[in-house]
Amino acid sequence: MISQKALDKNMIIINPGKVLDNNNAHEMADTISTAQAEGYKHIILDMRELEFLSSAGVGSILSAVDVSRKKGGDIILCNASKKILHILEVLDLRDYLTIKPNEEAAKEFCITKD
Amino acid sequence: MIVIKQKPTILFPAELTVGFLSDFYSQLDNLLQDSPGEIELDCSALDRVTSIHVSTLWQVHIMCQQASIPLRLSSVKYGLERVLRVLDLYHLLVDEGKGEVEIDGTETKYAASLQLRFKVTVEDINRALDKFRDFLMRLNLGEICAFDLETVFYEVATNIRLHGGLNKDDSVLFTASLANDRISLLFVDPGILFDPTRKASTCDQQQRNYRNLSRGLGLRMIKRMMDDISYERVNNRLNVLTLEKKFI
Repeated sequence: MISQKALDKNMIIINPGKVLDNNNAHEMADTISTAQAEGYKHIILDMRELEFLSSAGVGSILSAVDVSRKKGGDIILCNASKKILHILEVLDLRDYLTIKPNEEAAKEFCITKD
Repeated sequence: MIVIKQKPTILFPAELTVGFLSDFYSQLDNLLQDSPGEIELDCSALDRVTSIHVSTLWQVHIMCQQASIPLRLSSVKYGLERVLRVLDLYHLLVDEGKGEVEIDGTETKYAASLQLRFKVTVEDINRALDKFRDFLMRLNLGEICAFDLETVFYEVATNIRLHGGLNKDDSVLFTASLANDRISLLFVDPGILFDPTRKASTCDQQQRNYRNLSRGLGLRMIKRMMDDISYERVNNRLNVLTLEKKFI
């Protein structure tokens, strides 16, 4: 189940839950775009629970990255497991996406970027 | 637990504790002193194989060898066979005139397979994926290798569901089979013609416009996670997709 928590007026953290696949990729995309529309520049995706990521799930994240970056912010992935990082590597996205080891590093990145 | 029959058979247990092993070796030693014609080690309880199982098996082999008594393995499941082959122990424990290995009845020699038929609904695909995961777990594959395979299953099955134009009553036949060092996945579906091997990859390492990367991600994952992909349209009616992956 997708959950979210605002950290401050610029930063929000979203937890996609255990699975991000075709069944909830649309919900994820909507959650991110709603956060962007509400003015959150930095969207941290906490992947700590995520065990399965399908191509649709990746797409739901990718489609929002440009939007955040054009507003001077970013979408930052953190706490991704070895399996999830492997998916991103297979798709050549490790360098494109902003990936941090944990929530603290993700927050620090956002603050530094501001 | 040792069951002594006319032809001594030892049941190799799934759970091995320090206390058990001490008694086990002691009883095996006593058995070997009776100079039986051969010792049979029944491996039917071994579903998941750990390093303790392998080292115990090796110790039994050494003890039998030192006593000049052949050791014969029976009911070897594919997981154990595969581990022994990866460790280069299979030929030492099985070959060299020590007798044949009986492979568990549901699997054929050097091969194991799973066959499923599922409808293209989210629920059925998830159920089939769970069964495939269970099958992969029994094979003792590497974590990432198994993860690639279940991901590919999901991507192919979902692709068929979303784009195959199948009816509710149509079903997909899926087979996973192993031989030697590779696993083959076969999907047969009665959907509209779709040859994924002809779809050009949208990935261009030089390309910096990552917006385009959102398209065709599923196909890209499938192609990169598997070593070989082949497609055939049969009787102008069936899509037959075969994917192969070498064990890592």
